[in-house]
Amino acid sequence: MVAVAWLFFTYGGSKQQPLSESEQQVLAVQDKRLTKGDESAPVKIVEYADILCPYCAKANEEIIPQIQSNYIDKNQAHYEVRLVAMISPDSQRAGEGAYCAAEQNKFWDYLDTAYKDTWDNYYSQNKTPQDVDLFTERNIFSFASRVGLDTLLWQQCMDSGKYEKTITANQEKMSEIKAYGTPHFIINGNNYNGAPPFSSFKAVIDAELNKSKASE
Amino acid sequence: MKIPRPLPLKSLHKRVWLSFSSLVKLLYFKPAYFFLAAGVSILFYEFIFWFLNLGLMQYLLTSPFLTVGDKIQMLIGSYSGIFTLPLSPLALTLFAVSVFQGVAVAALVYSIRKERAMQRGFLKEFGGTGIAGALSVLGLGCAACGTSLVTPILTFFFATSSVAVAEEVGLYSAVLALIVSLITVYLTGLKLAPRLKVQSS
Repeated sequence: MVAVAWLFFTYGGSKQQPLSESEQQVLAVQDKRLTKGDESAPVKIVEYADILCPYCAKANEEIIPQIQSNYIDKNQAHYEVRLVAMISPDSQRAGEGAYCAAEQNKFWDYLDTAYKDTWDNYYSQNKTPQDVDLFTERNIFSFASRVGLDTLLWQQCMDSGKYEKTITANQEKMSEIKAYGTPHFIINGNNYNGAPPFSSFKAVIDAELNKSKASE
Repeated sequence: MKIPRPLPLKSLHKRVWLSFSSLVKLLYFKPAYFFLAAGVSILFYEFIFWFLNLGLMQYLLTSPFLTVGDKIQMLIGSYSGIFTLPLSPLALTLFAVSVFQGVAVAALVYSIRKERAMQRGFLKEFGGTGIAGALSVLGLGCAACGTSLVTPILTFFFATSSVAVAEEVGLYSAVLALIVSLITVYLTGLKLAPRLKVQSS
């Protein structure tokens, strides 16, 4: 067991290399409306998420608020969300709805309400994404109205289908960086699959902050 | 040396008690094996927990930018999700499997040291720990989100629509892992009984 552990830490795993050009491109801000924090912060966090993904909702309810108060609010980290549609047919509609909400500067209201509703009413009760009916063709309008959007403008945006390509492009980028599923976090080039506890995030962010301080 | 069967097969409850008593006696009276069981259990849990992010774990554990305290805190933190509400059956199962694995390996090491040679019988239990480990890995993560090993396996062999059943497959594999590790612990405990002079009540 000791030998296996030694081999793993000496030769195994994927050693972290300096960021490649493509990784730098992934970290570059794609859409300012979907970000939080200071753009010049030393740690850049990008999350690929699906609004109907249970673990994305869990991360948003339990982990992101801690990252916000400990790092984003202190200008130590910058956070950007990129939406994809992988979980269910309603994911695409929910994602486009969020981008349309961003046109009215209500992206975070929309996303936070969506995650809170799905977590409180479905996933925390061990229900599945197939059980969620908030974003069906019939119900999404009332959801948008509950978030406080100008529903006429929002509906026009949805009908135009202008964000369909954005979601597709995000998914293509995920394939490029070999991300398996959602949520997928990139923290200064370190890939993290799934929704780990805050302590794991803290370790990655602290290591990056210490590295940044050491290079100054 | 062939380990004698202590009791007939019919008296399963007595054999389970015999196995359990042997394991408790080993872990209580020989603290070195208790610590071995705890160490293996922690290693097993951390390996499964970080399985999808092993490269990152390696980076963090070997990073000069984190103190030893930070690294230990990070490892302890991986246990925080087990007992928080809502309780996740998958996380609880993984925790139970890792405890059973630790106990089974400690008992096996004791048996091997006492017998001074590897016997065919022990290989069965080692096989059991391997199978339980593989099944636990399969059950890990969110199958519906794609962050689980079950999803790519199912979609590779079948179709993308099979993702709908991935969650169930993941849960069943975790339950199977629990059953395999329980049987492994039971068998190793039973083998210890003659050596530790534990009698059936």
